[in-house]
Amino acid sequence: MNIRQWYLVPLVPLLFLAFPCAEAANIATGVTIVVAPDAPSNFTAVPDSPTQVALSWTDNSNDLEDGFNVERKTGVAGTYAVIGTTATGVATYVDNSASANTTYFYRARAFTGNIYSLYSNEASVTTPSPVAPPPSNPSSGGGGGGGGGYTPPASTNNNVTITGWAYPLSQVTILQNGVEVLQTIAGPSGVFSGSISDFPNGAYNFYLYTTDAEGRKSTPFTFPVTITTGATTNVSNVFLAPTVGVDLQEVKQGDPIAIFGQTVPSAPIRIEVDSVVPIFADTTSTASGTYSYDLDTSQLEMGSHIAKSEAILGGLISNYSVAQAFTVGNANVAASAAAVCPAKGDFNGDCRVNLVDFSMLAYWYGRPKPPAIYLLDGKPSVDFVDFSILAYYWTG
Amino acid sequence: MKKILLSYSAGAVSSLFLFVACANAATINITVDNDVPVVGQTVQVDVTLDTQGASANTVQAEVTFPPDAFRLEKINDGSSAVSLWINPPVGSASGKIDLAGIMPGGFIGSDGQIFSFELRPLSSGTSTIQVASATVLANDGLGSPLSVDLGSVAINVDPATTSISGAPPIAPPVDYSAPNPFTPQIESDSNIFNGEYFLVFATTDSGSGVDHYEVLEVPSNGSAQSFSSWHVATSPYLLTDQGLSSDIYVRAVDHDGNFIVVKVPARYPYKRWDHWTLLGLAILVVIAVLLLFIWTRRRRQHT
Repeated sequence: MNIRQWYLVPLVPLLFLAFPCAEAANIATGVTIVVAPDAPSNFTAVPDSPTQVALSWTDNSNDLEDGFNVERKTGVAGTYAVIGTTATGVATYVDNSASANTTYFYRARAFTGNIYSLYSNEASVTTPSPVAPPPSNPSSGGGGGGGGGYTPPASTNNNVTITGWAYPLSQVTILQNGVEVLQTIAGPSGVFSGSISDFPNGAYNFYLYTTDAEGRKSTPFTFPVTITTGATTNVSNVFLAPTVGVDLQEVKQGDPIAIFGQTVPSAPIRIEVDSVVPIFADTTSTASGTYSYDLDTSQLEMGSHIAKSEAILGGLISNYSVAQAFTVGNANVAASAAAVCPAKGDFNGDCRVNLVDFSMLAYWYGRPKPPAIYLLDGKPSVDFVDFSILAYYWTG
Repeated sequence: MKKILLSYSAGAVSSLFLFVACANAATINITVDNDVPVVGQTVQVDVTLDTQGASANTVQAEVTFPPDAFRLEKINDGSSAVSLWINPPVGSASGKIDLAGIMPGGFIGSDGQIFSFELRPLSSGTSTIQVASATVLANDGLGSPLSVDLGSVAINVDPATTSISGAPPIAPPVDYSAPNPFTPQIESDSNIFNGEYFLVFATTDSGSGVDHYEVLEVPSNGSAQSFSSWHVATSPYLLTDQGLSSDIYVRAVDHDGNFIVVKVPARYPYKRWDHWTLLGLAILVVIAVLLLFIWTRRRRQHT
């Protein structure tokens, strides 16, 4: 080695000074530092039934772990064996393989790759002896209570299938507790079907709506469903209301105004216009589900009116459409096209009213001087009425 | 005839209620599972909404009980007809539980669960639990108020020495399931948090109801040492890392301690240097040093 090569040797550390980041260090040394996750704590075991034990613990590793291994042994003299693994951040486990009247010991540890934490504390439980079968409907409550049954853990095998009629080829949106869970397209006859699966037991509010070919939104169809055990619930004959629009926002008294919309094909339509004496008119939808009726306004008094419609399908009558306002006056003024976006509540301009808009309104709830866009009822502060208006225009 | 048809293909679906419009009144009912408890025995109180045919989308209520006669043990807002809480039900030492929330799209029903709570009688005697005030707004796009009948119930607490008549009350269900999965969203708006990025989140829990949320921001190149602790949070939540280079974890915890954690990956993760890039840079540095060395030697030779 000549003098020039020796001169370069001291330069090697400079490379490390130039690249202080961990990745550079890894290249130079080939060492990867892995921090073992912290051990879980507060491990508890509770018997759900003679054959089921619910386990829970505290995750102390900030969800840096890949998961937890759950171990069990039978009796004090038994040997621990892994009975299950949970995912990141999941600090509960149900042991479904227990036997009645048996003492078990449980513990858990977190892991990241093949690096394991220390074990949690140990929890023991003795499963109860078999008892009489629980009542078929454990939550019905008022049955006199004898026997003291148990409440099984919630199932995740619940399914709800919803079928009904919308408009030919229209998009049907299904919301569950205000959150969009499914969109489906109706067939040429307007029939639609959708299934939502794998949600826990409980009470849910379902909310369906569709839009017609011109972007008008139907009246929402809402219903609650309560499920207490794993089941498939079929909800059928959901008949979404027709849409309604008018060609004139102001019509000269005596001139006709076209009232139109969409529903299922070839269905009788009943149009109702409020007046001193309410006016009813009947028509029938076409093969594409559209309908139109020219109303003679000479029978309407001057001023504001509202038109709405309902459709008939076999023995079913839909709910009323969204009300469409118009005025009988001295001139004909064309109506604007159907609004593509919700008229109110769409604070972030994405043509939807959903959790984001709710959170934005909640931000201004109780704060002084909210911007005018959040004052849906025109009052100077955000109040419950603003939330109600937001909920009305909800799209999910 | 307005109707929809329901059938249950398997299992025991307990109930499914369908309702049609409409009238202009509502009732908030209070029922208890045992109106003659003994001191020390808990009483479950259910607060339900009967819209009496109307479609309602917002409910606000204040439920009261005498704090010297009862101790509030637990609140359960799981399986509520209220999908989003403006103010989730929270009890106070003065014996008040306030709540407000919305039901998007409206709710029509005669037995919509709003929430329930458990009271433990502290002394014998007759006490009244009541809805002290309430507002129910119609789902009409205007927020029109519906007239509301306020429910109440009298509880006659027996002294502890009195034997319990009949069967003991059924223990309330124990919730072992975590809140439902959800998807937090990163948003920004000039009117919210001065235009800074914030996080939006909400979920439901069919068992005991969501108790609270926690947020953890972890730099995408972070090590364990750089982790901060979880922060109890409400939506919208102002993000600490406005560069959006952190992974965000949101934990929803129910009233029984079950929780679910969801992750929002960093929008702009820190760029990690790949090995070849580092090797190339190292070679460039070596060449630069060599050139500098040669240049300085030649300069010395010239001088």
